Amino acid sequence: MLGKLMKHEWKGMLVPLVIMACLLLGITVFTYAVIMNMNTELNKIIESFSSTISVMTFLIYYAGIVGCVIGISLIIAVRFYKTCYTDQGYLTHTLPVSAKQLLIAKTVTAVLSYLIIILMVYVSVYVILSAFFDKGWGFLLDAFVRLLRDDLRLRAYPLYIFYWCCCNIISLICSVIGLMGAISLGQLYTKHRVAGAVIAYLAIRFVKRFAAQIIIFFGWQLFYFFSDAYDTNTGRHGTDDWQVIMSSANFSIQTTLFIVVLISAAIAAGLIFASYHMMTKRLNLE
Amino acid sequence: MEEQFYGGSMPLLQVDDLCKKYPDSNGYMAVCHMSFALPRGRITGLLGPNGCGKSTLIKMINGLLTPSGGRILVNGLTPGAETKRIISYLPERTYFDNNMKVSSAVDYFADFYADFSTERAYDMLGRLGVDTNARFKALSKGTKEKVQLILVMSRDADLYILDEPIAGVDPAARDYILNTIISNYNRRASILLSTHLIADVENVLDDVIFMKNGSLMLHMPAEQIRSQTGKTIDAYFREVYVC
Repeated sequence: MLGKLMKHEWKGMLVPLVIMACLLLGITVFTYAVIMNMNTELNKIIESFSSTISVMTFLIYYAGIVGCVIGISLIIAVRFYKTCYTDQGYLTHTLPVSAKQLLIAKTVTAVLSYLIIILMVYVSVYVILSAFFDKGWGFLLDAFVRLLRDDLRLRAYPLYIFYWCCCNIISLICSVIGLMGAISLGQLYTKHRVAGAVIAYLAIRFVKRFAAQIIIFFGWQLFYFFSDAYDTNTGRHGTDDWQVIMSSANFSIQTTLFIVVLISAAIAAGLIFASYHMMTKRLNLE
Repeated sequence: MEEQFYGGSMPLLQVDDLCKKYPDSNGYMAVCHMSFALPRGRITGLLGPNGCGKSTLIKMINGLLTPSGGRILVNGLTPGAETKRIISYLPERTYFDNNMKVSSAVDYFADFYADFSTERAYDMLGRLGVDTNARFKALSKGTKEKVQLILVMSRDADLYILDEPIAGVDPAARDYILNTIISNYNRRASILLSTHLIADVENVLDDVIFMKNGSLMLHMPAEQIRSQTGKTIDAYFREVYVC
């Protein structure tokens, strides 16, 4: 049954996903075309022509990228709300499946949809930056690897990239669960359930941000107090060695990131339990 | 009396001391200590005025609401994924996405319900003249309801629960709906049909449940009511619920 649920979830997500992908493709092609066809000769006639057009194009591009990321979140939220807590919920909740299966199917589909859009955004940004620097497709990747390996002295940089990817995917899963949890918590309100969901979402965001800020603050302290870069005798940086400083910074950033992700995961676990509880014990379709 | 209904075998649906109190309802109980049992092979009318708790009761049987107290057993099981396999439920609302095609809705039912007959569904849709490639947004409210009923009645379920299937439709459509119900249900199954339009359904009912203010007032074979009161169910209903 889980497979069937996921199949129908994909069917429901496919059209909005394709629309978002087309939108992203459209703004990428537009921005790419503007950059590649910029006529710098016009700067002689109109002052700062290139920079004005570049800024405007990048603003449109940035708005498009942000729109896509917000758009996919909204699509996930609206679909979850409609299929679980409006009239469509009468069909969803009378299917011969458990609430656990429902939540798994919806979460997996939403996370994969989100991931597809995020990957497309990464590819799009890479294409645009490559066009902007005009030094070939491999230039940015080489520059990024050089930054990690040579400047930041991360010898095991592939492992580092893998670690960042894992943390980002976990954060993404937590975000999707947070979105669904907020909508479920909104059902606690007898009236104004959408407003309730928005309030719940803002409250969850606030708690996560607050916890993250505290962790980042203490994480930064880690850099000073527990790293090789700190001289306990003088209470100052004990070294000017760039490699030592970078490895200390890296240690504090990774520890901080790990704790932030851990807290997000703990909140997400609570929220998925909240969604499950709402679907099994507090379901109240109008 | 219930012994005579199900002849000692396990009832298909058993409701014991069922209560439902909604949050923020100031203590008002939408369903108040209801107990009854439905045997197999009977059509039972769940009758009562608007707001008497019929839909709340039905939602609890379908696992859409959690009871505040009491117990529901469907074929010996508490409401869950297993009971949803054997219940075919028609809510009082249309529940398909407006962008969905009728054929997709048929596929949806075929995917999830092992007892669903695609042939029967397409046959009934064809007789109704519904374009199966049409999207729900292109259908009238009445046609949407009929399509939904066709899908529900195309299942070979043990228990059909139909919440107000004839409310808000014209008399011709009522006849179509009732005929669809009567000619398609599995004879070993039972139907629990909720309505307040009694005159239209009373001839098809085997048993009758009267509800008032969330409580069970009466549970009796329809024929017994007629013979004891000398009135039709509709006339008796009007007498009981006189304002």
